[in-house]
Amino acid sequence: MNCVQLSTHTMATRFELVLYGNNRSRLRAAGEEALGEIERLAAQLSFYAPDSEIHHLNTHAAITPVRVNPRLFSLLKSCAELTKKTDGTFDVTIGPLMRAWRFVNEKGALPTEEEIAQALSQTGMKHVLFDEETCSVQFDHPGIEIELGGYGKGYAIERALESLRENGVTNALLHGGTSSIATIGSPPNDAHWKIALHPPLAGTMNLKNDAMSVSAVHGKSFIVDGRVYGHVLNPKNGWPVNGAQAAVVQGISASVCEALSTALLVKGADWLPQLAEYFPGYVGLVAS
Amino acid sequence: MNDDTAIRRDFLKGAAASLLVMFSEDDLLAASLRQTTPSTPPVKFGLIGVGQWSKEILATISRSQSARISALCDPYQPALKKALETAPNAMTTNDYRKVVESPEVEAVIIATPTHLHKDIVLAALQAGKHVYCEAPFAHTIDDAKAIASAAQANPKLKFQAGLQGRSNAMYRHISNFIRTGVLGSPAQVISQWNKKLSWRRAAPTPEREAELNWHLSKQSSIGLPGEIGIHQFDLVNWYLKSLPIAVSGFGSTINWKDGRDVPDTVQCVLEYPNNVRMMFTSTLVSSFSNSYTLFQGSNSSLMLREKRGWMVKEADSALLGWEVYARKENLHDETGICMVADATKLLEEGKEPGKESSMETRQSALSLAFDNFAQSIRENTNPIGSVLDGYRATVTAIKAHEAVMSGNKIAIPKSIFDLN
Repeated sequence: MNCVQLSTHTMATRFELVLYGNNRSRLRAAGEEALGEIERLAAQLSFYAPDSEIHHLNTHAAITPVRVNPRLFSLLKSCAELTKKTDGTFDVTIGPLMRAWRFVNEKGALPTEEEIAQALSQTGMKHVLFDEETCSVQFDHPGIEIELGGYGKGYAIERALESLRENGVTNALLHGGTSSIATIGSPPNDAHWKIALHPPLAGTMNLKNDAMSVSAVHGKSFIVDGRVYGHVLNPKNGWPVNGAQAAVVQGISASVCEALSTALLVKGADWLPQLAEYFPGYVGLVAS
Repeated sequence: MNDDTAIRRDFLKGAAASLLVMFSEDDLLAASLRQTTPSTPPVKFGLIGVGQWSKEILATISRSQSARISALCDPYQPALKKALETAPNAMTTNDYRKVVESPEVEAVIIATPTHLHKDIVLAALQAGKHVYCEAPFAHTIDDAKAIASAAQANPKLKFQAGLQGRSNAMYRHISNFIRTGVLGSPAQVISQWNKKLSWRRAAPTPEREAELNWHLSKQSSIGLPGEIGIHQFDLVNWYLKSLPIAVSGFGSTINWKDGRDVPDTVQCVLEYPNNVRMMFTSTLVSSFSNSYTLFQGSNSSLMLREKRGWMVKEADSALLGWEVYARKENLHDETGICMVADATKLLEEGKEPGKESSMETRQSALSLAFDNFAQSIRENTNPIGSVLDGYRATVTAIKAHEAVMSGNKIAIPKSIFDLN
């Protein structure tokens, strides 16, 4: 069995793809198409690119309803559903808070209480209105900004795997920045893809036709007076998460895993029973 | 705002206002389209050919206020099913004649493999539909001429060539800038498109795979010069207001020896009048430096990448004035003066172009192209990317591919660019 490896750099991270199959050139072609799909979605969903669909939405939706791609419409509806089911701890309208904490194109800095309060008033999926008939989205409040950083990578991985399956690939692993991983089948001579967890998490996860996502407070962060402020923000209180250190969720959908690992990091281990209840088939782990 | 900032902003407004006098019509196009098109009903399009590039077309039109997809056509059912996710209300068929005859279709977008364009274009024009035909028009001069002649014979129907670079707000801005003579005497153009890519398409069955990989066969494809380079050739034809008189080419298959018979690496030298030459290179072996086109003249050089552009002035060229305050970036050892395509719109919003916002344009070239085409249909104006532009770019690409495949220098008679 042949092995083909491909990678691309987009969404500010590195995506790597491993494929196994009988025909190298077909595997390569399928892999290129899958990574091309990720690059296309990165351009569509970018918070930063001035010609992205998300940028257009953020710029215009508080003024007028904005017609969006039906698949983006579905994506945003799924995000709204996840926000409800996670009690608001996963929320893609986190853009104003990211700006307040200078995590947009900057390294991060402590905002004032007023800035946090202002940003919180502009945060919440309740401000995003959906019109099914016209496939359009509107914000009921100026200043709302959708930022898909906590969902887009998993979504892109999911779509890439969809492309691989359509092209007949039966054994593959794709990850984005090692924090979001999804699989098709298993590697040759093994029942699962084995994923080792780094500290503060520990152990190994077995994946086969499913996905996992890790969220952690480390990574992009800054220190003030000895305290570390990480880039994962709690949309409920406007502050960086400071309870759990890392959370991992395994389940069928890479995008749902990504949303749930963020929510689990915010809510901590106490939320694990609700996660199991509201999201059957998904399991989580937390390092406090 | 301190005094210095105020003076600087006033200066920029004044400087840009004078630029506006020179550049206004085209520069305002991008900004104005979104405001003008929604007042008329969206144009109903039939999309014929639902392949890889059509994903971009569908995604672009799904957001548009000026266009809707009312029909989808492809012989491959799974592709149609997939396309319906983005255009859920469209009628689907595997027969293009049903699209061109449908009263629900006002205009067709032809995005099939290049060698299949001709019959569809002729049928669409015969049925009275407006046509957006992807570039290159065809893989042979005869087919390209048949397409262009049929379009010219139906002047009441709008025909737009799929040369979206012509709609790129940045490219249009720089085109006007070049017309002011800022380059000085044009000396040469260097252009490349590099990406490490097999360029092969995957499919679940061998039959579908053979259909999808038409571009890897010299029977149906004009290779990298045709499917990629055409956009860069068109840019040079447009900016230099000139057409090539000869082309030399070289091609090799370095990396992807998988049965294809079009090279994965090509070099072309196109000769234009007054001894100006364009070097075009493209490889599927290395991604280094991606894609760009560089115009070099006696006063300055202009570098264009997809969404961005820079001017680098010669030390002895005259001061233009405004560039003192323009945003600048390092281009290796040079200082590049940033070109900002939406400058006019930004100034209207009270922002300093390139400083308070991104340098990149806010609407993609493809989106602008479809808005422009829809506008041309509704308002009976000329589309950007005319049939003649498309034909001439196609001829340039076909001749460049011929040179690559033969390894010879080929003269291009002037008459070949004429349709009469």
